[in-house]
Amino acid sequence: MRPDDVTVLDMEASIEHLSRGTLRDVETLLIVAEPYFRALETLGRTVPLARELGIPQMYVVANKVKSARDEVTIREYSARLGMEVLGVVPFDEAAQEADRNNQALVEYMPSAPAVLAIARMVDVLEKGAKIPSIR
Amino acid sequence: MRIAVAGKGGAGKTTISATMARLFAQRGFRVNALDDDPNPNLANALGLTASQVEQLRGIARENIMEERVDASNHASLHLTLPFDQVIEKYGVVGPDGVRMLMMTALQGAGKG
Repeated sequence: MRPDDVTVLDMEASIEHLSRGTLRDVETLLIVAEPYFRALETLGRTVPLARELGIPQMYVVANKVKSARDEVTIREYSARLGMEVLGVVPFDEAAQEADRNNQALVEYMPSAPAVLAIARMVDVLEKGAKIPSIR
Repeated sequence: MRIAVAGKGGAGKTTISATMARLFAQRGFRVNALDDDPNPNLANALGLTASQVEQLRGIARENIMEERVDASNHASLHLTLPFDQVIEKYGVVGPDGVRMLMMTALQGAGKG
């Protein structure tokens, strides 16, 4: 793989399937969390499993955030797990609308708040992309 | 750089994966997007055409992935071919040049 290649892997929901096979050569694991108890509970179970696999970088992505309180909830839970939050994606009707129209969100509304938040995460990851991974 | 996106079902993994893939591609990266969810939606979220989605769904999973059992009797999935070859052979090219591969298409489809 060339250094300017990026591979994005949309994973199976069930965390028990986090396996060395699927995650071979993965440098960055993003765990998407919503500010609801069950989603956070899933995060709490995923982190130790992912740590066992020795993935070099792991971050939480806070998604569907509706309020400052939502954000704090995810940040505090993440901090307790020793996890950094890479980005906070707001709850965005445009994401639902794009889905209903069977369209890519980035095409449906390129300036949607969720797209802008994801772009900021890409900024951070892009900087990291130039750092060769240590295997 | 390989980025895996995990999380509870419905948490927004697919929208985040697809949007990231498109944004990286728009910035000039050569991007591969892989769907490893048994209920695959990434192709639609990336904006592939209906016929491309059909094409991806028609590829038998065993062409792409095979199960291997290790010494401790733990089964895990592996690609059948080196990654570049798999995506060349079974992937499609979508908007912004994102190359997409579905790893969980119908089992048994297209056999023989």
